[in-house]
Amino acid sequence: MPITTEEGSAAYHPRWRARAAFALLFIGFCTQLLVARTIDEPYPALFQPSFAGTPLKDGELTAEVPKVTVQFTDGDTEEIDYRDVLPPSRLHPLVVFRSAFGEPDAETEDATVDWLSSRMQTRYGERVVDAVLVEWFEVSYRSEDSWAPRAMLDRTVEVRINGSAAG
Amino acid sequence: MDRPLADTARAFDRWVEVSPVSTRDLSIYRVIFGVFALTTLPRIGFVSDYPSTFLDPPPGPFALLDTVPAPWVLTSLSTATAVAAVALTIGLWTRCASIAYALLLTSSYGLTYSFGKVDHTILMVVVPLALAFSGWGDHISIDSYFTSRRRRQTPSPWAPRLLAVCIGLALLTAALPKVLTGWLSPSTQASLGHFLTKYVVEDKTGGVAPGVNSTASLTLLWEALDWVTVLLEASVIVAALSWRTFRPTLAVLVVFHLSVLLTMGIAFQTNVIAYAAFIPWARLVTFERTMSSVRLRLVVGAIAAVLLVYGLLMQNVVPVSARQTANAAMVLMGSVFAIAYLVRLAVRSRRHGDELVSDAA
Repeated sequence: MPITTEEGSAAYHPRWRARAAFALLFIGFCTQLLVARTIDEPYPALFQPSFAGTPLKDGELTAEVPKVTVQFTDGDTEEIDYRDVLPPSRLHPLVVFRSAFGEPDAETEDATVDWLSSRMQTRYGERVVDAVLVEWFEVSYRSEDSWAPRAMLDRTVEVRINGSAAG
Repeated sequence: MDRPLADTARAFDRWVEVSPVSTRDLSIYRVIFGVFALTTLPRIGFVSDYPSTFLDPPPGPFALLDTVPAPWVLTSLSTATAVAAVALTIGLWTRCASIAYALLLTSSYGLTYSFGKVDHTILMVVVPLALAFSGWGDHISIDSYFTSRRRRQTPSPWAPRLLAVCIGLALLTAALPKVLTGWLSPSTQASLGHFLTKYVVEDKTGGVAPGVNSTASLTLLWEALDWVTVLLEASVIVAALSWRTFRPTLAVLVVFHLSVLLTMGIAFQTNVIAYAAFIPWARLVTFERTMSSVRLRLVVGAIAAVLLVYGLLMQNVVPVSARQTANAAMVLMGSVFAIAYLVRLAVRSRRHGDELVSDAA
């Protein structure tokens, strides 16, 4: 049976714990909204996916897509999927890849360069990788073109790998 | 205290303490939640495969993270989370296990969300926190065998209401940004845009997606869908004021989650399991009342052993695709429950309406 306590009965007493729990919830909720509005969505916090925004503008969708080219010291190049650069995980690959190689400062971060060098060594073994070129394209898809992609180069990030470290 | 204020406080007390589910319902739910928790334990070992320069934590305690934890820390955290989940499922020190599981899960998720994207699985944390003091360990639990009825702590009947308000507020955070970013403007068909992003850009063309794509020119339909989505998400917090409206709203929401799964391939399984807290499970599950005490103990013990082995060893070898299938199955199962409940509600209200008409005649 549902548990209820009637006011006025001998069992009635103020629900201080309940009041405190709800007050805490209300304060926490207002605080997280404030943080989300002024900084970014916090964690842990009571949020659900918002799918904010309207991706379709005037019949056009846009997306940012990376193209990864591996350059070897012997002059050879190979294009690989950006997802193959990352180790298997449950993370959103594009978000992680953009966070790591989205801006030119990745070119000079020692930890990133060492990590990429080690990944390339695992992938290619004896072949020595000279650099990894990441080209970021703005790709647009228009309904009138039957959603055929149209890509435009936006920026390039080139991570030079020390040949001896990679090999 | 002022009289109006005192009256409001008492009205609030009365409102929070009315619960649509008993401790027996919640205890059965605890087992279901626990099994689900064990089969969806986050895998965090991969975190150590990334360098610390990849860290991009959200505001909050994880913003203090400036280096990727060592593998032994991740293994310890995974093991502790699995142990807490097993303790929760079998009802061993249920209150402590509920809180421990919630805190450990928050930490596990927090580490994986420190690479630029927060997934919205927070209801898996909210459920055990809100229900820790609800008495959901009072039946079908080790606690209930070793604690005499007199020594048991009084359950907090307000816990389900707290959970309902948490769910309502969480869904409000999904509705508000939509309103602020133009979902309700007649010139935008935001849901169509999100569908096409999955279909065209991410190439998610399975299931019913091609059929849905053929309706892309029906602007009015998609605009209506934008409005329905916002209204549905925003209505949950209002519905939480009364159990009479809350449960049907959740049932409609589960059907909505099914439509999202079928069209965009996104499974809201953690939402569905959270909504299941409001099902009167004791009416559906009766075996534990008819089974002898000794046999029940043996069954609980065997289940505990299997869960422990799975939680500690097996969950890392289950392929991701199997997990995704299980998540989709959870949403499908929830939808079957929800549709059956809504049909039953419709039949009952129609019968009630007929009775009123015949009474009036």
